Amino acid sequence: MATLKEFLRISKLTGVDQYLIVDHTAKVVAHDIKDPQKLAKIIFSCGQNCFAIGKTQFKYLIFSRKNRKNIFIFPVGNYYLGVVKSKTVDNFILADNIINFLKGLV
Amino acid sequence: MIFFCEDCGEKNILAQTQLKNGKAVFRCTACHYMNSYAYPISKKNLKKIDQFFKDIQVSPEIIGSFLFHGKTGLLKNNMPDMLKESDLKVLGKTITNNYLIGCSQYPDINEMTLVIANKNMIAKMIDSNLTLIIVSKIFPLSKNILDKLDHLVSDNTGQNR
Repeated sequence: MATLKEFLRISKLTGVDQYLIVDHTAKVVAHDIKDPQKLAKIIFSCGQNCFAIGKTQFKYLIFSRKNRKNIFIFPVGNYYLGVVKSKTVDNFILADNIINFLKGLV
Repeated sequence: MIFFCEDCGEKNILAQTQLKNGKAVFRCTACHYMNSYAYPISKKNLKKIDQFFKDIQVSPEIIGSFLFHGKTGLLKNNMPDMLKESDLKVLGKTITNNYLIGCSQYPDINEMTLVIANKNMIAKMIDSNLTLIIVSKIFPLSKNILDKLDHLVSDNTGQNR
């Protein structure tokens, strides 16, 4: 099991502008966002909804935004990870980076 | 377009500017009642969506597509037969709910993609009740399909990507 310190390296990944992680009770475990509650609501609710239909096959969810700072949700064990993408990075590059990072932690 | 007052039944003629996000918002000219209700998608727009579904279905990357209405359920179904209508309703409801949750906090959201196994479900809301969902083998969609999708959505909502 990865430590929180190892996990926090996520902020250094290419394409990660901000991140937030919530547990199965919607409690924010770690973040680097000014207003974490706003994003936490989405990450938790949508993460749970997607897991309900996709179970372990649920890979990620993307909200595309006009300002290109797209929001990603990844299931991580009993947690949900939310990532706000940098404007300049493509969706699939960020998704690949995060998935590989999470695999490396296991 | 002609809309009837929910209170007195008077006929009201509305300009396009009074139709926002799938809702007719107007004060009745006879009784001054403030109306605000969702109006059904026109047959013309449904035909456009139908044609769009047929156009994209020939692309090898596309598995299928469907149109989901928040109140009435499945409006168009262009998905493979192995999926039951009840499954699509659950999928459509979940995708629409998620989209609305996202938009409640970030109103500038204009598309949502759900990736389950090797299926990519790309959703666009045409109005507050109507979600168009394309299921694809690859992500992102090809430029040709994305352009057609943007054209279709902007025709229906006046919004751009």
